[in-house]
Amino acid sequence: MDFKLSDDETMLRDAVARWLRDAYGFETREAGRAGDATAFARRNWTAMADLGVLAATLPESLGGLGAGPGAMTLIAGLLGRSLAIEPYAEACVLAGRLLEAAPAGALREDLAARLISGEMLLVPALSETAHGFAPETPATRAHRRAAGVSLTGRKIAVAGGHLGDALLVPTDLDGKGMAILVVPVDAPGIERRAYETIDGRGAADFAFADVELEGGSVLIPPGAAAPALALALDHACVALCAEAVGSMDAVLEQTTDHLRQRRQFGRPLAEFQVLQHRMADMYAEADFARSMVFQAIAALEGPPEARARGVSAARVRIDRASHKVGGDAVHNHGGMGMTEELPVGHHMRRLMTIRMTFGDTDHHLDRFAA
Amino acid sequence: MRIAFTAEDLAFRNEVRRFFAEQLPDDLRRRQRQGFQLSGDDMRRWQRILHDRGWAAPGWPVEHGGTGWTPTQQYVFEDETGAHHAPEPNVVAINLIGPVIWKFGSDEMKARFLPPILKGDMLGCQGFSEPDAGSDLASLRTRAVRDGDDYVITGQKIWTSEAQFADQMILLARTDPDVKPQAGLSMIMVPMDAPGVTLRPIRTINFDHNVNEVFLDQVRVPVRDLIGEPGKGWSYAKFLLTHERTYNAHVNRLKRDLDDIRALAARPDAAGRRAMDAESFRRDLARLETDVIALDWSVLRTLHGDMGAAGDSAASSLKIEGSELQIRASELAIRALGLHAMPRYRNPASEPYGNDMPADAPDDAPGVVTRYLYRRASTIFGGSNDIQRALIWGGALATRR
Repeated sequence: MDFKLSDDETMLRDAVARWLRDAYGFETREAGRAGDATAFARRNWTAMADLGVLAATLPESLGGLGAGPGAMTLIAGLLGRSLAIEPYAEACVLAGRLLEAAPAGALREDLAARLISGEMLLVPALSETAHGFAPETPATRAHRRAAGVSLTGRKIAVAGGHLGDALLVPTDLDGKGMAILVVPVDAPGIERRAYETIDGRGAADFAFADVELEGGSVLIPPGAAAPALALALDHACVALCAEAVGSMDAVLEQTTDHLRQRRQFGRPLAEFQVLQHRMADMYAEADFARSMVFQAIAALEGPPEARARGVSAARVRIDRASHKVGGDAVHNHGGMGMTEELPVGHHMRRLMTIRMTFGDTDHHLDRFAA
Repeated sequence: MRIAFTAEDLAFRNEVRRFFAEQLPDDLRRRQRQGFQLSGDDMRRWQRILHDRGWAAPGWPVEHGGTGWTPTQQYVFEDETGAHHAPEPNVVAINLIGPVIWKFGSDEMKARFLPPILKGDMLGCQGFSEPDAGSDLASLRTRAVRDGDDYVITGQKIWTSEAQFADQMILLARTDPDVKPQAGLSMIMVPMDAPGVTLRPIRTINFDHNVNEVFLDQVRVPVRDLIGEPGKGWSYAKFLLTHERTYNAHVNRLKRDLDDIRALAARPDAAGRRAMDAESFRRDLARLETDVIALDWSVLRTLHGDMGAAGDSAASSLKIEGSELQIRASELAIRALGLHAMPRYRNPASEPYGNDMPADAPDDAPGVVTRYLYRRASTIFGGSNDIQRALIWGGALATRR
């Protein structure tokens, strides 16, 4: 076992870190969000494509670089540290893994090329209801017709759905089980309600009313779709875990700096034992979270049941850590932590939405214990 | 010992309930439920309704226009305020400016300030915290310099709630720089429209406008607007803490939260699933409820003078527990919303929402989300919980023999 980075991983990490340092400072992010946030995110997505971030974990057979989950966690961690608003876990990791699992064919090759070039944002649309996360058993229905496929149903809180060009939609197909369809967001019969989310990102709800799709829209047919989706979701969950740890790292640094600089009662806050102890607990939490990312990387290589257990264990433990670190960081910043001017409150909100994405903590606790 | 509400208390509760049911306007109730900062107009309107009923100031003595209620009656009134989603009073005017003025102010001041506060014609804000004087309030630097019959005030205040529609600020300023920090502070009323007063809204993480920075540049106010004596500001501030020992527990909000959480959690989503279906949720809600009951009884004990070993530090333990429970309650409410907690809802008063929001989110969803985010501040403001813990040690334990 070796926790050190390979040369390739070091190069990737340094390239991404350099780009984020130059193009994704907090002020740049806030200015970008305040202006045309969609254009800002698309520009960054293109930059990520140019850096090879989008290609990194796709297989070489699809034009990717074939890097493993370790590289994915390096990328996601850095994005988390910078509070990047682009849907990396969704539109690169999850979408990429679904493409990898799809049967060979023109559709898959074309989508992979356009994903890697950044030209197409391919967003998975998984949740249908506010409670319970069960994308593998959708109520959304599709039927093959003479000329194509007809789709009816709904998906909600689709992260990145406000930006997406096309959706990856789990749906029942002809009553034969869950399939994954590729659905252009502007197809007739689709209603999109896009909204900003509390983490500074965006999402959308979609209603599909007899949407007519081409016959070739079925990316993964029933049978193969369920295991493909489970694997892709596990990878995406680990990306979120790594993003959370990156976010916690940033928050720890910012809070430590604040305590060193801010003076009350004639001395720096950093000299107050109660604050030192709280920081020590936050540090330990973030570090246990980091261990869980490594554990999850290992689990991703295992058989499905062990993989599910390992990934869900990571989510449960990291969710607990991020709840404490995000909340205590705001508290230790005092009133300043409540303002939009400092990143800490933004991190707290992103950590909160991570805990709600791809199943909440209860979902993963149940999955671990099953 | 007689640990029960009397028949009179219960009759009073029914009377209060009837009043809220009949007099609280539906639109006000709805805006309160939606959780954003109420407008000044809403606060004035509700205060006038209370005033017409003679209930403008539950905690004030009758001679000053208050209700003269017993502690139990005040408690019942606050309870029902929460339960009916009624607006809370403009806290600074009713709980802070009023009591300091009727306790320490001149008769002239009482005549000038108390009636408009009671009627809802004067809303207040609190000018205590400064950028470098948060937890360490005694180090504040805003100066009030005597110049003939005026004070000339220069300085900066921060985290000033509701300053955007307040008529008056109760200001804590340094009038004597040559004595020890606490002894040089005075309380002065400052009209918010005085020349030299400017506001800057602070954008906070709950997407609302609750707090402000207030800049005071050579603001001139007559010496008659000094409350009581110069140099007594610190002891007046301490009087306020003992006057409102139980306020910061916000136990009425917590009981309302429990009702709201139960209602939200019982609401089926599009697939008929409810948050309440999960055993973990039911258990966490039950655990919160037992903690709220304990807090509630601590409030009742404190109101009746049974303050236990903590003595004056009771206010501190109530504040710590109240704030932590408020965060927990808001987190459970978020869980009850599920994915409907993701959107950045907008304040319907300032940024109409509707078309771009999830179609089936409950009407209360905006309030749940903004409240959750705002309550992160509850362990910080009103004396951070770290400061409160030090007060309990210093006030109750360090001197124990």
